[in-house]
Amino acid sequence: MNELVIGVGDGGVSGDPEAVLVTYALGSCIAVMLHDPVAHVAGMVHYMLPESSDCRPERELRPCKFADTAIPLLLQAALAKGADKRRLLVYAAGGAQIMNDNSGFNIGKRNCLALRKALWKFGLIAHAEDTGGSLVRTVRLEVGSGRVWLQSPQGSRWEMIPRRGAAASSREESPWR
Amino acid sequence: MALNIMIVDDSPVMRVFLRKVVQLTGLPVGEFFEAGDGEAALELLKGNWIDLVLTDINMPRMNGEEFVRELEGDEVLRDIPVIVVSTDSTRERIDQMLNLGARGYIAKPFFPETLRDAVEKALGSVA
Amino acid sequence: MNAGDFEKHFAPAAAAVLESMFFSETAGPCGASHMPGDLQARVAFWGKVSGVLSVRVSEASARALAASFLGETEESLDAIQIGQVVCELANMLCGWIVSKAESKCVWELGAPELFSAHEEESEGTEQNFGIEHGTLTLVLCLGVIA
Repeated sequence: MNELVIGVGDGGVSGDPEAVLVTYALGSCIAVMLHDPVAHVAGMVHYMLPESSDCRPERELRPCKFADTAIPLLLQAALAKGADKRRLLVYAAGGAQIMNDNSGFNIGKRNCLALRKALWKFGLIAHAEDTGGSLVRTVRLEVGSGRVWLQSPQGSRWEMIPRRGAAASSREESPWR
Repeated sequence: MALNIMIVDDSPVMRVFLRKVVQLTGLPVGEFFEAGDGEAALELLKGNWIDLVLTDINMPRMNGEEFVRELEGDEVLRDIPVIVVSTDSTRERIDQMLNLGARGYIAKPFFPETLRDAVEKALGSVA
Repeated sequence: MNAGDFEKHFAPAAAAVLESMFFSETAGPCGASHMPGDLQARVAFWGKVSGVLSVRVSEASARALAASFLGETEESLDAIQIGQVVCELANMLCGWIVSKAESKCVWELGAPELFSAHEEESEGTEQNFGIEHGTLTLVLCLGVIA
């Protein structure tokens, strides 16, 4: 497996079925992941802050640092790699309230709100989320299979399972038509 | 096969919100039909095939409760799945609408994923 | 049942409504900050107790909230859309509060409507919450039907 490490305030996409996108130590930051199970394209971004409006120079230099610029950039990159927006599965992890955050701003919660706002604005909706709490998360996305794994600092590991209703998978004739 | 969705709410912007959530389910949507009250909704139902109805309760002319009663009283219309989307989150109202035949009840405010899941469940159950 | 039975639900209502459908949050209780261009909407309700809840926000706050709700840019919205979103905000806040305060009763909401700051305001129970670009003001008047 080819491991592609996504750093803090960074993002990346891959069409290599052997690749694994990974980002470490998600505290108040959030990792947003997209996966197209047909095109085998996956992308991940690790953003730190909710809004870029107060940081104009940095928003140009490091757009992945902010939710409102990172998410559209990730979407654009995934589509450019061959993903189809209608097939995309969306995952999000992180947004914890870190114990030593004495700022009173609760960046984790603000990042969670910014996630939902940006997803809504760009026509996306999360299929699985593992956000909030106080856990620092590491997350891995397998490009080939689309499986997403989380890991805690203590070593426990669990998979994020996307919510997909039966109606979204196959269609049959409705009995009264 | 494309699905026709009816949205019944007297708030135009709420109808936009609901339409957007349905579009985000990824289900094959054919047409959206919109009405501002139960009476207008019944008129639209006369001439159009609808696969799912999302309805508010507090509306002028004919409210959601009366509207769902009308659907239940009709041999054909009663089979259309109905999801109520309302500000009324009292147990009494929820039970009332579910007993009237609604397949789901979403209290406003709600997370878009909550409605998305209810829509997929309602449509998946008749597939 | 008195105003206090409703007022205790103001803060949780503001938090619940703003976070779930407006992807926004309140900065907590604050002092009133009213400006001439503010938008105001009111919703009447009838139940065991009847009354009117009115909501007031600055034009800038209303525009930001409308953009979040509709998933659009602020610049693309017109005054009608913004007014409709403020009405829906009032509708959801009123519904949330009344559902909690009159949880065991049958009640109804009227249609929300915008009203002018020049209209005489009824005295009632008021709370203010800090939001993006300003304040969200909730005023409850019991026993008054708009």
